[in-house]
Amino acid sequence: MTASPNRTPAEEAFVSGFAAAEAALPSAEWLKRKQALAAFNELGLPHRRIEAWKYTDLRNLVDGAYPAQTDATLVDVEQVQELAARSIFAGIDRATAVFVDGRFRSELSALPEESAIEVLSLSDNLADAPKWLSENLGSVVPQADDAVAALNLAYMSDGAAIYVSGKCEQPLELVFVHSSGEPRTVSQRVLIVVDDEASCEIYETHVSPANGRYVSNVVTEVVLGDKATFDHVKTQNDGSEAVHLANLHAKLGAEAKFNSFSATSGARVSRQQAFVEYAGEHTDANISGVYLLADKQHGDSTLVIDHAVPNCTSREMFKLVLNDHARGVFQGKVTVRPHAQKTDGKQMAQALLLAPDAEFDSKPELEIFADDVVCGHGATAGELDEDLLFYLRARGIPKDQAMALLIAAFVGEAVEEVSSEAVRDALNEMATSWLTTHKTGALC
Amino acid sequence: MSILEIKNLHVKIEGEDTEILRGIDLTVNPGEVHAIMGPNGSGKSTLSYVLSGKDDYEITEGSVTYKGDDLLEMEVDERASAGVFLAFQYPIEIPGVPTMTFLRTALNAQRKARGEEELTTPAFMKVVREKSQMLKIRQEMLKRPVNVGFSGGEKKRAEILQMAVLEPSLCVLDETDSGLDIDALKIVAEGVNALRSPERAMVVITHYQRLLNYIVPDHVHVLSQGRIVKSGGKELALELEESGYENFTEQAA
Ligand SMILES: Nc1ncnc2c1ncn2[C@@H]1O[C@H](COP(=O)(O)OP(=O)(O)OP(=O)(O)O)[C@@H](O)[C@H]1O
Ligand SMILES: [Mg+2]
Repeated sequence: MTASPNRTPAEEAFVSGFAAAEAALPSAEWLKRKQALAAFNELGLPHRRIEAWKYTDLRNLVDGAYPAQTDATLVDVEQVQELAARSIFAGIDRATAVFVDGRFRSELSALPEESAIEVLSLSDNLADAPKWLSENLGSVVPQADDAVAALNLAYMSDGAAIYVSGKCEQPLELVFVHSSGEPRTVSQRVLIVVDDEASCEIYETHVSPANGRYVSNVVTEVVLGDKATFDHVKTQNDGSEAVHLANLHAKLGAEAKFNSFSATSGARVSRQQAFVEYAGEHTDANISGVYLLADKQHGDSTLVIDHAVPNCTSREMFKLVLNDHARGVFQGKVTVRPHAQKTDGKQMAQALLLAPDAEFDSKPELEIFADDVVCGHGATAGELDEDLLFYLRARGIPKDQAMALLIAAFVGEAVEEVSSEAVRDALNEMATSWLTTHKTGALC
Repeated sequence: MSILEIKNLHVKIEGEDTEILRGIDLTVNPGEVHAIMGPNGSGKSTLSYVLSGKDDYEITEGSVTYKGDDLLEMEVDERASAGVFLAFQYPIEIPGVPTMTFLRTALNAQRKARGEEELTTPAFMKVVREKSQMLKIRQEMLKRPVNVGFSGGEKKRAEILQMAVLEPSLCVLDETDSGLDIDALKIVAEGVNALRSPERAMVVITHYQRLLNYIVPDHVHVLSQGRIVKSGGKELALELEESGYENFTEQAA
C-alpha cells in the first residue's frame, strides 16, 4: 500500500506496518485480517467531522506512530504481580487470566477449574478453533464503519475466548497489564459465548505503570443464549499517557440478563463503545459506569442500543466526576424499531464538575419508531450542592471530607447497578481512594 | 463566662442592600434556655444561620463571641466541633449518604477536632441505639440516606437525634416543633430536656407557646424586623399567645 500524504503518522504506521505484523501474528484461514486492514485504510482514524466522533477526535488525540505490538515482551514477573495486585478484585475469590503486553501468560494466570467455563488463549487456538469461536469472532453486532474494530481485527495478537456452558460458581478476572516501553499499539480481543441458561461473572482489569505510552485496543464480543446471565465489571486504570479504545459488542438472547459496569480512572484518552442488539424478547440490558477523571484526561462513553424486538428493557446510568481540565463525553443512542413494542429504555448521565475548566458533553439520541414504549433520557452537569455541603459541615465534617462524602454518594448511585455486594464495596472504596489522591478540597 | 454573646449584630444578604438583622444584642449563659419568637420574616432563621456560619450573609457590624472566642472568625465545621449545633428549620435530604455513616463521620470528625479518640463502631452503635430509642426513631430509618424519604416530622426528630449524639454546648433549635404531631412534640421535648445541663445552653426559636410548656425557657425574646424588641420571662410567651405580635412590631417600626 502506498503512503498517503493525508494520513497522520499514526495512520501511516498502522497501514505500512501491516505486512510485517501479519507475518508475525497468529493466523487462521477464517480470520480476515487483510480485509480488516483494507477497511481501516478506507476509514482512517475517526475524527471530529464524523458525527459519532465529534467530541473524540482520534486523528488528533492519537498523537504519533504507535506501531503494533506483535511479539511477546520480556516479562518482569514482579512488576506484573505488583500491578495485578492493585486490582480491586484482589480480595474476591476468583479465577484469573493474565495478559501482558498483548500476550496470554499461563504461568501468571489461575484459570477456572470448574467445568461450566472454558477459557482459551486466542493466539493458541486460532488455527484449530472450535466452531463457537470461528463463527462468532468478528461477527457479533458488526460495525462496518468502525475503524477501531477494524484495526483490532487486523492486528489482534491475543485475547481470551470463553465458552460458558453452565452456571459458573467463581468469577473470572481478565487482567490486561501493559509494561512501559516504546510507544506501541496492543490489540486484544475477548469473545464470550454463554449458552442458554448459563451464567458467569467476568471482571476486567486494565493496569500499567504510570508512564507507559501505548494504545490499548480491546474488542469484546459477547453472545448470550436464551435465559443466560452475564455480569461484567471492568476497571480501566491504564497509564496516564495511554490511549484506551474499547468496544463491547453484545448480542442478547431471549430472557437474558446482561449487566455491564465500567469504572474509568486511567488513560489520557479513553473511548468505550458498546453496541447492544436484542435477539429475543424479555431481555434486560444494563450498561452503567463511573468516570473519575482529572488533569487533562478525556473519557468518552458511547452506547448504541438497538431494540429490534419487543418487550425488552435497557438501562444506562453513568456518573462522571471531572476535575481540573478533564473532559467527559457521554453519547447514548437508543433505537426502537417499529415492531419493538413495550420497549422500556432509560438513560441517565450525570457529571459533577469539580473545577471551572472541567467539561462534560452529552448527546442522547432516541430514535423511536414504535408507539407503545417507555423511553427516557436525562443528562445533567453541575457542581457540588452548596446546601448539602453546608449541612454536612454544620455537623462538624471538614470541607474536604464533606466533599468526599458527597462525591462518593454521587458515584455510589451508579455503583448500585452492580450485582455483587463485594464488588460494589470494592468499587466504592476505589472511588474514595481516587478522591483522596486527587485532593478535591484544594480546588474549591 | 457566657456561652454566647451577640453585640449589635447587623447582617445583610450577600450582594443586597437591605439589612435583615439590624442590631441584635443577646447574651446566653450556661444552663439557660432562651426562646426567640417573632413574626414570619423577622430574621430568626437568619440569626441561626449566621451563628452556624452559612456563607450567604454579610456581617456589616457587631460581634458574636462564643465561649470567649470570635465565632464569626471560625469555619462552619470548626463551630460545630466547638459545640455549636443548629437544628434546621428545613432539614435537607442527602441522597446516597447513609444516616449511620453521616452520624459516625460527624461525631468522629468532631472528636478528632477536639483531640479526642474516635469512637469504635460498637461504642458508636450503642450511643445511636440509646438515643434513637429515647426519641422513638425506628432503626429502619437509620438505614436510609440522611433524611431521604422522611416525613416532615421525622426529619425534625432526626435533627434532635443528631443533636443528642453530638452533644453540643449551644443548641439552636429553629422551629423544631413545627410539623410535629402532639406525641412527637412531647418526645422531642423530652429529648431536648434530657440534654439540658448546667454547662449547656439553648436557643429555641418557635412560633408556639405550646413547646415552651415542655421546654421551659428562662428568657423569652421577641424578634421583629431584625431587632429584639422585647425580652422577658416565660410569661411573655403566654402574653404573646394572647395578644399577638402587633403591640411589639409597632415599637420596632
Ligand atoms: N437568601 C435570601 N435572599 C433574599 N432574602 C432573604 C434570604 N434569606 C432570607 N431573606 C429574607 O430575610 C428575611 C428574614 O428571613 P428569615 O428566614 O430569617 O425569617 P424567619 O424569622 O426565620 O421567618 P419564619 O418565621 O417564616 O421562619 C425575610 O424577609 C426573608 O425574605
Ligand atoms: Mg425561619
